Amino acid sequence: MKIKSENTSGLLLIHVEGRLDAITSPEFEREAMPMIQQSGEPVLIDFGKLDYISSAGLRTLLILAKEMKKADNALALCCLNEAIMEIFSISGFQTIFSIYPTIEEAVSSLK
Amino acid sequence: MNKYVRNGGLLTCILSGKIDTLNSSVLENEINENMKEGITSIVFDLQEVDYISSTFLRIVIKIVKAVGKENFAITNVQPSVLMVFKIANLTEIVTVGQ
Amino acid sequence: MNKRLAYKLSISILSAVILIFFMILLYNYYISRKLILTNVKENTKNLTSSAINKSEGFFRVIEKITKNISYLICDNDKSENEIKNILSNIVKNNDEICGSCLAYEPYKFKSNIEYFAPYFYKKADTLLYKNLAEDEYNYPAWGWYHNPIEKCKPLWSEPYFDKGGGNELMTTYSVPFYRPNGKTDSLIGVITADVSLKWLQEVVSQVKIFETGFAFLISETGTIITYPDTNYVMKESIFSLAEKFKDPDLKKVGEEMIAGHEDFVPISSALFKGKSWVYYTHLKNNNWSLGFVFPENELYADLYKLNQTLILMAAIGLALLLILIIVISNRVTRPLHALAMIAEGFGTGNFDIDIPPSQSSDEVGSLNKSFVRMQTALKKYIENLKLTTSAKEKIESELKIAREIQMGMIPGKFPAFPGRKEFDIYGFIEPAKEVGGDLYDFFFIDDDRLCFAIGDVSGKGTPAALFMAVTTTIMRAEGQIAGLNTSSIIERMNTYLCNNNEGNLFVTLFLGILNVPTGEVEYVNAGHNKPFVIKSNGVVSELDTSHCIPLGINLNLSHTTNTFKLEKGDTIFLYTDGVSEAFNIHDQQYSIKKISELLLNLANHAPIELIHHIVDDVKAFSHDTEQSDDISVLAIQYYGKQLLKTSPPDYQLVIKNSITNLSSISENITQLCNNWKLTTEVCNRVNLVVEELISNTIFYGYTDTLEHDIILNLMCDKDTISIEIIDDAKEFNPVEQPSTGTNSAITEREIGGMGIHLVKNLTDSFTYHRIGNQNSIKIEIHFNKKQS
Repeated sequence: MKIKSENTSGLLLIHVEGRLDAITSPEFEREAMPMIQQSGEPVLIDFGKLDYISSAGLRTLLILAKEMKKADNALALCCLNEAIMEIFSISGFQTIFSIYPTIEEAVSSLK
Repeated sequence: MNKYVRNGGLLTCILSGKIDTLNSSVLENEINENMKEGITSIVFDLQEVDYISSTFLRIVIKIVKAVGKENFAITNVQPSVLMVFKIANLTEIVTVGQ
Repeated sequence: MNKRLAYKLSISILSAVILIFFMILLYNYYISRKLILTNVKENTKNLTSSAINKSEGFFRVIEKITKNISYLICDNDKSENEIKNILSNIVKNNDEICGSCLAYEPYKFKSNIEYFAPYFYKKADTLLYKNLAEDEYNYPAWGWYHNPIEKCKPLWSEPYFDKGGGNELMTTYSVPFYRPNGKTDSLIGVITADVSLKWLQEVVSQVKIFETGFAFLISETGTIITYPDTNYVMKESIFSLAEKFKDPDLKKVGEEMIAGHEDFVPISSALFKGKSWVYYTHLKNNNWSLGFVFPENELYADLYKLNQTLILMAAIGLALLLILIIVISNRVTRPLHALAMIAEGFGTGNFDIDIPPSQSSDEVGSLNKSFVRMQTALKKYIENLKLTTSAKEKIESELKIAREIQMGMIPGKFPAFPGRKEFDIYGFIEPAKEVGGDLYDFFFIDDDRLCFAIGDVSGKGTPAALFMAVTTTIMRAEGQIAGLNTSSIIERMNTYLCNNNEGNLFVTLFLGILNVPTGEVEYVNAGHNKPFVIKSNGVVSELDTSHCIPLGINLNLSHTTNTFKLEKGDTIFLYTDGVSEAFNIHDQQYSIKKISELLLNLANHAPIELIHHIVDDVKAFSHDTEQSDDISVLAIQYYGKQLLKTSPPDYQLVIKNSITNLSSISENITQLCNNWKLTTEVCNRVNLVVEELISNTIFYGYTDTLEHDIILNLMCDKDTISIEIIDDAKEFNPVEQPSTGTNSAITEREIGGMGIHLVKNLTDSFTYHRIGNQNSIKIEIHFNKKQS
């Protein structure tokens, strides 16, 4: 799992690469949490290079979403591949999160 | 009780009751005893038989193989017994008279 | 180790030292040899010069005397007496001269005397006179007379033995003398001096070189004149000896000697008994040659002695060096050896060995210090390890207990509802870690409604397990309130889990309620994998469900309730993502597709078989990799509504595996059929089917001779007879047996296989399951239909 963040056009963009499973999710939470706490801007997580997500990864997303809600800021996801989308669909998570097919679409609707 | 009537080279076996796994070996021994000396053809009379199992079919096949198809016949078959012969596709091969 | 190091060190150093020493010794030997040879060459002249001088002097004296006489005589005409006087005086006064003769040419002494040769000689110290012309000696024919005349110069004769005299070795010096006669000198005669070589022989034989070295003299022709072995004297020449000893070197030396050369050469000759050096030089007077023999071993005696001394000293030196090396290497390796022993002790876990402190500041000393540091570090590490291990063991044992508790919460006893014939249910769970977050559960809400669920708590391990325990408990608590439907159970569970969820965990859950009499299922899917439905005809499909979010996330679940109907023989198969997302060593997922493909071949299999097929396949797929997620599966097969339990009731018969029991079965079945008011034809069919199957089992099913039970269950409702035969014989699926060739001519018929053919054709449903170690055959015969 690799994580990388950048500030673009008034939002924090976090790129996640690799796997989000029981082993890597705590690490993801540890790294992403301070980023979103400090940003004060809407957050967009780019899953374009994410290969796999397990329930532990979903749980971490949920924790991040709650944190964002506290700060009254939006959290959105984008670029989910077919397999990841399937998991979001099975678990019903696509109803909890705003999911966009591309970064551009996400950016324009978050503004 | 089974009766065996000999008329020259013809042996008529008048069988009765149920022919199942248990008593078929007894029947087989009886037939073998009566088939000695010059018996060339055999007729089974199943008037009194209301039940047969596959063991009886085996006996029939053995006898047909021994005396030849043209020297064997079964008569007076009841419907329930006939059904078994039909399922086993033996009506074509064995001369089944009623 | 100690000895080995010392040994290696000694061997290598000693080898090097010995090599160097031998090179020096060899060099020294050759240089010394050369020096000695040069020395000897120079000394030889000194050593031999006296003998040469003496010899040459001897000859010179004789030559002078003889020549003087010739001058004396040729000057004047002397009378016979005067001549005799001169000759007698010469012989008398010169010890060396044993005889002297003055031999005249014919008529040269006196014109009237043809031959005249006065000769004085010593015999036993008396001086005797003889005129050689008087007897038949005929002196002009002798070599001593005519040789010098022919050569016109004085000559020394070859040595000879004087036969008349003392049998001594002699030589004669002959001088021709002339008288001036006008322009030319005219030859008058020859004057001779006989000389004994005894003195010369003595001089030469007295020469002694080292221990056994000697001198020898040879004549112009190579004849041996003096030699230590007197047998050779006059009898052998140097060439005959060379011939005798087959010694070409000696011949060469001889040739050089008579050619009048001088040299110092090495020679290995049997004559000189081994290796020797020979110095030879010729005598100026008469071309005779003197040889001096130097035995080589004596020549180099000092050198050999020196070398012996050197080797002895070297041996002592090497011995001292060896001792020194052993002592030093022992001193170096002893502490190393001690450290090795300590290290061995460490290896066996003994860290309390005292390491003796080392005072030395060399490498061994620093190694010693490192060892002390290592000991301390290891001791500390082992202690820490012990503490950690015991803590870990404690946790592990607690986890083990936790797992047992967790497993206890999940129904694990099968068959779960032995009294319920309408369906079969089987579940299996295997956590990835000691305790996991997967769950399944099933329980009756009331007589007809079976609540079943499968779920997956986010994450793994203890937190997931605890959340799973909470979920299971609440589900049971809520579910067992009769009258609730799936929707209200799910909602109540979600509310509880949301309100008591500090860890932000959630659980996906598929919750269903099966209406057992009708086969209808209502369910809610809260974010869980879609279950599969396997129809009895083999069609496999995913249960198309609408999802809501998992429980524990949001109070507003906005779920929907769905329904579907299980037909007889249908199976619903539920699983968690631990199955579909099991990874193999190539990091590939097992996938949902693979599950559905496998299920295609598992229609009409009992839930237990179906589940173990799937689990075995998943394990085979991901073997050699650590199980990445909990694996849970649950399957329910629906057999349809219960058979009529009212008049007449179900009938069960248990018989032993003996063929004689068939008659009692037949009687019982006939009795039952009468009770059920069935026609004889149907009764016969039932009897036939049962007899064929049970006799088959009894004849062929058992591999031992023990007693076995065969259970026969009979049920009847208004249009169907259901028969179940259960035995513990070896696995045999009669349904899959090929129908034997009932189309072939009777004379070619197989005797066997007809029974099963009959059964297949006399029944409306004929299924087989292997459950555990049991064969279960289920048969249905519809009796409202007429068999053709």
